[in-house]
Amino acid sequence: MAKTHVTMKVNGAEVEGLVEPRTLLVHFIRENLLLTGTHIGCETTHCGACTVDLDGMSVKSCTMFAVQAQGAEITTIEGVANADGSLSALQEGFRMMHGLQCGFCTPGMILRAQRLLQENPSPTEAEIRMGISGNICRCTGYQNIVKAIQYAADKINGVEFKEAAE
Amino acid sequence: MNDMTPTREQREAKLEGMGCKRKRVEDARFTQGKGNYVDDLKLPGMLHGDFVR
Repeated sequence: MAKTHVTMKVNGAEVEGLVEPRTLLVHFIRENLLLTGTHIGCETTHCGACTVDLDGMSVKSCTMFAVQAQGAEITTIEGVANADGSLSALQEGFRMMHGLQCGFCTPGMILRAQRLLQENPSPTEAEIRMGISGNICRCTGYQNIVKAIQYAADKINGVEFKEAAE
Repeated sequence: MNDMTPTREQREAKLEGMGCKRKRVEDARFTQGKGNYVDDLKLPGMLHGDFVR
């Protein structure tokens, strides 16, 4: 099949590759760029495991062709940590609040939460739950994911995080 | 309860007592996309199988 040349910016680096028109963005990210932190869960847009940040929006990369991302600026989980390699506020929050068990949904969750906190730096619990409603987690029951995002929001806002009483 | 009872933060720092949260070692890589799940492996000569149902 004829291949198309695509270029995009992923985690700050210019990348390029030859893709078939049918190649999904998530396959391009995982197989051409070898960034396997972005996971394929359902391939039908339901689960959110493949969520990446594309030009300032959360996008499920299994629902987009690589050619559609031509020229786009993309962030994947590999580009989330701080410049010095330390965990970002969200990554730290997920670790501290036990916002993960098997970790499969975590890259998508973190990318989604990162965009959510940019759209709304101080979300309420309900806004967090609505904000991550496109991402499915089968381990945690979401309680600790919500806490992790609250933890990160407070850290970014310079407020002391107070865990709600259980 | 006397004054010597350690706070939860103190207990958790030393990982003692019931209800302590432990920081999991694997979370650092899981939150950075370095989980290395089966689908992430690439071995020399590896074959792939698909099920068509």
